[in-house]
Amino acid sequence: MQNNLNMLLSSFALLLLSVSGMAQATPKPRPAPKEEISVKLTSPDKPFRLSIGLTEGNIKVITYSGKEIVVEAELNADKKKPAPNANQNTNTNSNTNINTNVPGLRPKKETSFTGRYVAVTQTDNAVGIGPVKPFSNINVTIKVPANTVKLNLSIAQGGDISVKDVKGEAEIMNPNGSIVLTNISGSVIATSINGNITVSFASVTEKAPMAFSTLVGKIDVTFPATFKANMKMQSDDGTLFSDYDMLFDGAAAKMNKVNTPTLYRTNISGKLSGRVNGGGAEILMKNMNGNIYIRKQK
Amino acid sequence: MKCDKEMLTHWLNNQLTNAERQEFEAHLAECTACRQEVKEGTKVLVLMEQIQVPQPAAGMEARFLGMLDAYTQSVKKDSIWKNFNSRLQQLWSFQPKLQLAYSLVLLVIGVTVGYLFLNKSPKDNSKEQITMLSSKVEDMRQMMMLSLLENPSASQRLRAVSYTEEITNVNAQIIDALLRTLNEDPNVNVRLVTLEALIKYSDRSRVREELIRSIANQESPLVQSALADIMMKLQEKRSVEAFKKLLEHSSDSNPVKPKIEKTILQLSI
Repeated sequence: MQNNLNMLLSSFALLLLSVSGMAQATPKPRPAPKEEISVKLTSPDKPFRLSIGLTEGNIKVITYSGKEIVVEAELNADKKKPAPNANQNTNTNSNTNINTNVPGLRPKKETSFTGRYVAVTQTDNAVGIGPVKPFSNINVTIKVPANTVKLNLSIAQGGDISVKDVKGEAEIMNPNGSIVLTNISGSVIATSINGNITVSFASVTEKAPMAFSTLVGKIDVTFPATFKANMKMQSDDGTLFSDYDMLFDGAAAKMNKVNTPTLYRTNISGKLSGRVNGGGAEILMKNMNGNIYIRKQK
Repeated sequence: MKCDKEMLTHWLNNQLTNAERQEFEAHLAECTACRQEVKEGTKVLVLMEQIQVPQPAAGMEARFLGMLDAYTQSVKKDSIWKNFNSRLQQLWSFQPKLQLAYSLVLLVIGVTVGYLFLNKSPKDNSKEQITMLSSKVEDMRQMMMLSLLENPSASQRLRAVSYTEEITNVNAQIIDALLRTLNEDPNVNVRLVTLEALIKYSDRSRVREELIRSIANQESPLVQSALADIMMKLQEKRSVEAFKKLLEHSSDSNPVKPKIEKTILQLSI
């Protein structure tokens, strides 16, 4: 009887051990953890600034009906190499409120949040977002209120930038990836080296100068039909496509009809400049290789 | 110790501290002049003591208060009328003075301006005014352009560069600002547009030299490519050295490398 009990106990212990051993041998695949940080603006109804600089990853900016800036960040799963130590379980989420009062000046209120992947700071409606570990490859999605915004987005080493429905000034730099801006109201300055630039405007700030440049890639911009501009198109061997009635400076350029009923084309071969709807804002579109599309909003 | 008149009076009035008194008395023992003075002083004091001070008569206080009362009563009665009166006087006397002064000043200004205007023939004058105005507008544009170039927003800096097209007299200050932007602006597009604006002044030797110097500084392949285009167009053979230097520093993956090599080749012929 005693023997039996001993055996039972020992086998039970063995079972436990083996189960725990098994558990250790095959750890559950953790779902890629996602973090979300919400930041209040100092003046929620006023224009704000949003600056994001990543080394690698993707940036997506969309609007929503809320008043706060909501930052969602996760490791970029598409890439094979994860950032070192990125999966550590310690949650380093820390929030700090720093009040720096300079006598005689309006007190500046800085709020900063450091998450697992991104650090977010907010000072007087200026929001800055950057990676916690300088070289991590992360996807950042930012939901912003519909206020006017000054956007400043950049990724140094690849990945894509997309912005949707935003109103204000956008300054985008993405040397090794694409830039896609949809339904923008305001003005855009976008530059890439190896990526395409695709922009569509809902409305344009009158007389605001803009520039779109990439070295190897196409530039495709859709403006409102009544858009007034002085366009400068420059490309080594790209072709210009447009459905605007463009009045070219100098007699050299002539638009030829393409198959589609409204689109016209002409070789840029260096430089072209022309006026749209009588002239207005100074717009530069420049690449080395790639076509340039200037479309009329339908 | 010297003879001290002040000490002496204090001593006579018995206003000295112990130490001071001892000191002064020691001096007094030696100094005949002071002793003499003390003697005279005491005499005066004794005499003054003897003067009788007349006492105020019995009912004086009561009479004085009564008088004061009667006076304040009369003043009060008068004051309302007087106040009104004085206000009225102010209205009629003070204000017209101001108005008169004001209108006089206006008149003087009017006359001088009229005189100045009439003195010149009207045609000359309007011309002069227009040139003056346009030079002022130009100055303002220059100032605006220079200050906008420092703006943190790239869109505003682009606007600043586009202002140069409207400035007819582009001076060295503006050229300097443009060159600084070409070499230092953080935004590639702003640098490209600036380069575009500078081409117009490439007939100035300084601009040309600075453009050549800028080649080696440009990190962006887009700006490098644009500079290659410009140097080709200007047939600027001096730029070959700069491009060669640029190639030494740039990596093999630079997509404009072939273009720069081609430019060097064509300019070296």
